[in-house]
Amino acid sequence: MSIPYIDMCASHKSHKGRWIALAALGIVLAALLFPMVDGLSATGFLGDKTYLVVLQDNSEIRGTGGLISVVGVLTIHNGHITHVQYYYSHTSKELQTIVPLDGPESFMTFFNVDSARLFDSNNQYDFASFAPKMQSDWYNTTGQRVDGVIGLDFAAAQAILNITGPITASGDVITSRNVFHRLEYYSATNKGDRMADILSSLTYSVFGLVADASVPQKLALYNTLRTLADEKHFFIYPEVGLILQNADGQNQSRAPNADSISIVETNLGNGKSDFGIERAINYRVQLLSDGSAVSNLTLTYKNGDWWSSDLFAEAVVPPGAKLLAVHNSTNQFIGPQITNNENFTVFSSRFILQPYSTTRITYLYTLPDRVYENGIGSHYDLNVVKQGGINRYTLSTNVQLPAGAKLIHAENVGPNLVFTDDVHVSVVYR
Amino acid sequence: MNRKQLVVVFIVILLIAVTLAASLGTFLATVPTKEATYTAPASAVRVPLSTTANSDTIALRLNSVRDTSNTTARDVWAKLNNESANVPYNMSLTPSPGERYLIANITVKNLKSTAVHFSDTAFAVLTANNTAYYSNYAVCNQNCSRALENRTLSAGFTSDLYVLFAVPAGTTADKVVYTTSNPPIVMSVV
Repeated sequence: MSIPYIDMCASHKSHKGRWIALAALGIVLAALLFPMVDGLSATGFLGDKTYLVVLQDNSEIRGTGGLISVVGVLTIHNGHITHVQYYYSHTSKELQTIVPLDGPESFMTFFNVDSARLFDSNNQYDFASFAPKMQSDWYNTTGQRVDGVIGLDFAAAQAILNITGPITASGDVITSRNVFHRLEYYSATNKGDRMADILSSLTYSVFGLVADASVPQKLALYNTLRTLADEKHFFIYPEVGLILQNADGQNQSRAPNADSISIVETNLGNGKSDFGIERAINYRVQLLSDGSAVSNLTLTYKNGDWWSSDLFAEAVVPPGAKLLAVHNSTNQFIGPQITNNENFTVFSSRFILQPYSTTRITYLYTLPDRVYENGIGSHYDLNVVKQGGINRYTLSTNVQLPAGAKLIHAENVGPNLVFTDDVHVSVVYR
Repeated sequence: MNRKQLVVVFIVILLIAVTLAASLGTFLATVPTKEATYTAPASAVRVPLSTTANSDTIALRLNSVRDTSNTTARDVWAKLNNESANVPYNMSLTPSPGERYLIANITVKNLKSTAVHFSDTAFAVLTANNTAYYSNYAVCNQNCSRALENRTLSAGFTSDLYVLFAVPAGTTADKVVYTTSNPPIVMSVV
């Protein structure tokens, strides 16, 4: 058996082959390297960049990931930190500045507000909607332009410390095992200086790791950041090359007329910590022969803590949804409020979750045109968007086909599936 | 096989190599959690369970170490956490997957006639191989919680503390150490 080889200089034809091979190699290398170079450039490893670093307390949940605790201004020159300054939400006049809210309508209408203090203004449905406004508000408040906004929550700090190892901040040893509670405690007791010390030590530790660590450690950091981005504990706006594509689920390709569910919560007080709450989404959808659907969405909250939680939950579903009925298992319930625009319909409710108890809220609604025809049959797609900041949720999905239809393929359909990121449910039938 | 086919084969091999390299990278990147370690100096005071040990400013006694799956430990924690009205922080006793919480009951006393520095963050649980799990949070009665927050014990101060440590599931505590006293205090769990 002869071994195939590429003769690079035998003839005119071989020259052509060589150039094709080199061009192909160039394309492959460019495809691999461009995002890396783009990422390095965007993160300040090739030149100067200034970022806002927003530490969000995800034990006090918000649509963007959590309540803003500390904001840092981080300047990087060729991969090295040249300046870092932190502002604590409760003492910084910059973060106490009142700024106008630009939405979402469901939040502003429910609470009848049109402005908030800057640190309290992250009521958008996701980080990608919040970051450009934060960038603009920061400039309007301080006159300082920043190239982007980096968001991380306490869970991200925990995961990054897994890689960097312990750090010392304010004289204390901070590890991946205790950082979450230390930050949570400092946030609740207004100890901004200690939070800033932790964030500062962590930032320097990460940059030290990027500069000096072994290859496996660098890869571990890279993988950790990607996972944190997928699971919405870590964000960079604008998105950066390979590292953070689709960090907020905004740029994923979506099937036409895909169904969607995005549950966005805001913790309104009391225990100021909802880390012990388990969340479940139970979704039953009946597909009708005309392509429309009848949806039964039940949100279940199980409180494992000894204090009550006051939650405001927005169920963001496709535009054109018509609410038929709502059922709630608690009498401490305000809602539902229904808001609509061309992009989505939102059912909003506020409720008290009692200690060691379970609360269920069910929305029954109709949806137009949720099925499309393509190739071998009829397709139904559902995108479940994970809220930033929460660790995990349980999804139970039941898709009932039109009478006489035969199932060809089903993905992520079934009871009690646990997810830590966005989910795509797909059903194909004939 | 003509040259075009060879080029295609070459590109396919290259792509496979890149994919394998990425997989290898993922494999290599799965490194275990970097834990802290602590080796007590020879000068450290070492005492068994339920025995008081003195340093230059404080005296400590380890009374018990319990898992938070223990109902009594949970109830005491919840009661004291609720009583600390000056500290508006409730700590959940739901561990992260793969972890368990241990609560150490420790009696602390100020040996000086003046206020002294003290911080519950200096406590760590040690395993037999000196892996150290530094404290997450501590609760105590209403009078004591202010002292914890300010990290200062007034003259004559004495109180029981409940200090919580997150450790990997399956970890057995060997000792509890107070790392910042002079000398450090090492208290055996058994």
